[in-house]
Amino acid sequence: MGVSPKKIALDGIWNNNPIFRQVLGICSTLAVTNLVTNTLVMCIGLIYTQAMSSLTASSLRTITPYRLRIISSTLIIAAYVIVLHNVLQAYFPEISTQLGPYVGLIITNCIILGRVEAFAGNNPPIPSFLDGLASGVGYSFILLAIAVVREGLGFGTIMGYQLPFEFTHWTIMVMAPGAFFMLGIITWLCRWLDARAEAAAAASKK
Amino acid sequence: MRLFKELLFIFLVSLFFAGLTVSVNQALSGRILLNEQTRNTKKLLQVFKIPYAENASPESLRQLEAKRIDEGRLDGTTVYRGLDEKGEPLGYAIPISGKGFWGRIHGFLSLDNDLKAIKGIVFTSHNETPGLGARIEEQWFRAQFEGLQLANAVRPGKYVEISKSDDSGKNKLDAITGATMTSIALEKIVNDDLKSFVANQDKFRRIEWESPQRK
Repeated sequence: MGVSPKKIALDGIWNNNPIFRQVLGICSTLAVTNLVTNTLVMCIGLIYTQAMSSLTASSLRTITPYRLRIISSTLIIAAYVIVLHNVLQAYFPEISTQLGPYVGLIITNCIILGRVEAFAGNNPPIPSFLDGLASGVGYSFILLAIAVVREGLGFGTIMGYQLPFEFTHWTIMVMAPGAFFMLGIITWLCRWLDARAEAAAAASKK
Repeated sequence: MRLFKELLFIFLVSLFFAGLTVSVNQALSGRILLNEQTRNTKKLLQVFKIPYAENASPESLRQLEAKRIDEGRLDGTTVYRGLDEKGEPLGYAIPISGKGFWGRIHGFLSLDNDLKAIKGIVFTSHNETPGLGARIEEQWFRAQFEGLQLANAVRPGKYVEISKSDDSGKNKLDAITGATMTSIALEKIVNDDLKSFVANQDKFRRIEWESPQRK
């Protein structure tokens, strides 16, 4: 089964975006997106975990007994996340304390197991690795978009830097409801763009 | 035969990944422990307002701690005494901890030499919401605790109230907007720990202080 790298990248980032198409990994989308810096670290962690787990699961796919695939995938994902958690604790202690339990929760992020099971399970290692990267990037850009709006409106800052104008901060943006609103708006926006592009494509064919 | 193959597979995969995590953990545990100790040392120095350079090496922080902070044991918990440059006592610090909104909050509370007023408060770990409850770590919030007289308790056993400061002369502090639950939780933690500290005051005065022994 040959899937072109371009299609994998496009699928992961847009056509099959984990957040607004598959609606996976919503827990972390809601939890870590009120500060851009935290979100960025979380995204890098997820991209790394997804890419490495997909690569590993795919390399083992021909020798993995069918009914043990979820157990072994979970084991692989957990191992990579523990490594990430240790590295953060050792080299970025500040960020590690700020992210608290969320790094560990990457293990249960549905995107990771979803991609490992849906793609890495029946594709060769290199495409799986790419698929992991693309899904991670697809997840990340939505999260960062949400985080920029939430931190900007909620605190009047971006990555801790003050915005050049003063306004009353929207405290709700910092709290969970703000994340729900933003997620809804972004999902709608992306799907609307998609629908418009499809309609335009259909019209040009006629 | 199939079962044997499956068992072998899962055994080998587990062995490999357990080995991976154990070796990474082994390689980094020294650094992680040192980071934790450095963090704790900084927090203790902060609670006594002992100045230190933000980029000081872990080694020099440890030396500063050895010189300026003494340790004592009170019913199984470690308590601290801060010293000024001449070795005279600056005040005392007790660990505080309890349930926050999302997880446990840990920190230190320092008291003056007479054990009559709060000198400062710091938090070493918590899981409060970033940007809301987590703002208990900010300077303006912590500064509100400084200088509060235990005698000005809002009512017996309630040494501080975190809701809205007023000028009644009682220990009433401003809470953080949007973090009501954290404020309520923190108020309970501080009051509970102060209450048991005050009950134990006589024992506290008999503590034998010594320079910290670091492994």
